[in-house]
Amino acid sequence: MAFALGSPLLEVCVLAVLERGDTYGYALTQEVKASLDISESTLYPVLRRLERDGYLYVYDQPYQGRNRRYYAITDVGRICCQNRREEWQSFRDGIEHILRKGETV
Amino acid sequence: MNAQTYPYGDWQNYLAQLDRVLARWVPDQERKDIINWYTEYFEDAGPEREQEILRQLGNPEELAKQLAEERGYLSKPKTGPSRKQVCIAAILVVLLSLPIYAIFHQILRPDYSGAGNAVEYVEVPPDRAIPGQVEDPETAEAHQYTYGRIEVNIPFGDIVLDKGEILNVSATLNGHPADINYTIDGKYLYVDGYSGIDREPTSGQPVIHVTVPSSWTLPDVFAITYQGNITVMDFEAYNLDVNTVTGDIRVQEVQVENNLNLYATSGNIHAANCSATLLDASTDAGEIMVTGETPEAMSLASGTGDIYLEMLKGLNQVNYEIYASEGSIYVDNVQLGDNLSQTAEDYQRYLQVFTDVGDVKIFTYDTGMENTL
Repeated sequence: MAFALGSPLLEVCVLAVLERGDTYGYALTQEVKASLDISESTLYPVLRRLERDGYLYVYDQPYQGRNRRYYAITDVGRICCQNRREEWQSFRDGIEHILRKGETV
Repeated sequence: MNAQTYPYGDWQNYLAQLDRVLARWVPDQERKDIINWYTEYFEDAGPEREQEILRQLGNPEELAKQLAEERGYLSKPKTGPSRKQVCIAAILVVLLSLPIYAIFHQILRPDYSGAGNAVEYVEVPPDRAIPGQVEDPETAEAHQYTYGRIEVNIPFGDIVLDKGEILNVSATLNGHPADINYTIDGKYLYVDGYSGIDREPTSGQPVIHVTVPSSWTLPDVFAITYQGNITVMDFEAYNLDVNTVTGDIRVQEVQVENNLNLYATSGNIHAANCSATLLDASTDAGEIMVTGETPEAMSLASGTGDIYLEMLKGLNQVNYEIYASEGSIYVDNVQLGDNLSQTAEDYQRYLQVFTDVGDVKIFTYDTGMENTL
């Protein structure tokens, strides 16, 4: 694809998934992967950054005799997600406006 | 094993390799986190997606680098000099040193042409000429592509080279892991020094350990340190060129298809059980010792140090030249070819031993008698 999927976009995508509920690494990756072309290892650094910046926290839960690490969004994360969502809307509208100018929609 | 199986084995094996490479740069706790993430990922993905994910993750070495870079533990690797640049540099060095060589050659060469000069100059017959390899850049390039080329060029520190399952480059300083810069491009590995270690080795002597994967059969290897020892053990190479200015060189159980060059300016050289088409070893102030297997041809030269040839067998060829300028030469338990008699004169003739001021002591193989020539 000609368009790059940068960190800010990936971060908001992860936060948006977590807004709907806590989840673990594999499931999270699969969910994002279903809509976007990302690799199996793309989200790990994104999650770490979000954790470091306080937008999410992690906890371990036993699952079939092992521990599974779950990711949960924080309140700051929700605010961040909402802000980014609005920014994205205006960004997208701007691009759309240029691309579709002259078209009669 | 089916055709789809990834070359790094199962995911446990893959992660073990990833962990090992990460250990070079990433602190323990973070490394553990990374490995945990992937472990969990594979466990959740299940066996049916294992190979697909492994393929996507790619070479563990590359992934480890990328992860270390993302965390700021590793600066993006610099590109080493290209083969072409190295060639040009080498040609320049040779060209620039030619006039100097010519001048010294003119001054130092004894004049045999003068009338009444009693010195008899004996031409070395062609069948005794030491075969040298002239490297054709194109052949070298093709070789590098197929079999690999390794260059280690460090200002100070010891170098250890050996063979293993996977490529591994690591550095330690006083027993602790240290950063080392290197570039990999296909089967070309260029190791060019340290980050995080002072340019001056005040804090101790670093050790660089390069493990070459067995899939790089017969690589072309060039290693140089200006201050340190070089050890090569259980190794196979096409050419092996080893250089140190102030340290010792030890090569052991090494099979070289073509040239084995060992140059130590002031250190000792020991080649034990090494085979090669040509062993070319020289040192100014150290000793040279060759034991065990016999290279097909040998050219050994020392300045002030002694030369020892011990326990060599089957010297059927006549391509040897052993020269100690101010040191002595000792030949012990060396067997000339089956068809040759084992007299001191034979040894001198077939080994071509000579020295300017030192002794030549030969203990003949069959009688063990000492002969001083």
